Amino acid sequence: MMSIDSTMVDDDLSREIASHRPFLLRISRLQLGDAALAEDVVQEAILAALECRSAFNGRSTLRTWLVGILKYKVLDALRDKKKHLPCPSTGIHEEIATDDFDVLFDMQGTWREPMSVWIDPEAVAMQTDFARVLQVCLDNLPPNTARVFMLREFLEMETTEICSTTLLSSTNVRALLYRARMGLRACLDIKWIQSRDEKGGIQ
Amino acid sequence: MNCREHSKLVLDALDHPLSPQDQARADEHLADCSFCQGAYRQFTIMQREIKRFFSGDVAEKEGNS
Repeated sequence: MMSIDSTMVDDDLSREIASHRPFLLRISRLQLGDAALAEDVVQEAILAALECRSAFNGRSTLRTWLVGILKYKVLDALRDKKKHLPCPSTGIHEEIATDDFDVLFDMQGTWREPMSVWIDPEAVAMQTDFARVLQVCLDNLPPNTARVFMLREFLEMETTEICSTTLLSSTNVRALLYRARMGLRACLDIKWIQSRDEKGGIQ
Repeated sequence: MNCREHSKLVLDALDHPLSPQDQARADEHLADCSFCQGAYRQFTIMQREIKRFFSGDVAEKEGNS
């Protein structure tokens, strides 16, 4: 595989493309669950971006443009590497059980505690802070749960497509998506509020 | 309907349109339940920011975290 040598990174746009590599790699790893494959896919995406950087028209942000390229490369990798899909041997059945959220509800199925009020990240700087916390919470998800969640939210597959891609039943896909979102909410509830407290927020 | 069922419907609705019956049941519960109103506000912020994050539409400077 080609590498990005210094002669290719010869202008500001190229350098900026390279600066998004950590973000792309993080997403790629979460989606593919295989560090080496994730590296290859990001490398391919960055090379593709460098090759056709004149096509970047500035109508979207650079990162959005790169994420679009990465999506295609990740989809290609998923098509090529069926073995990298979640499979029963990787503990997926343990992940599907959603019982661990029962503690949040009482016997009648009512939330035990009132919800805290999150500061809505309306300002751009605050959205960046939220994104940082979200990254931590995504990393905390069980791996197969994260991958199914990302098929839905990153690759924007319909659930029927997720079923055919993963060979999971629709009940199991639904359970994993529920688990992912409940897990993210619980994690964000702690970390977003902590993050605002550290910033001297009013909450 | 209880809060647990409501949370399932609200999150399911991100992937499939709810049946009119389920939508009506969910709306009815939400109107009367302040806990679920709070959860709904959190889920709404979360989902919007998840979309923003995965589209790459977050500010460029994120540090190395």
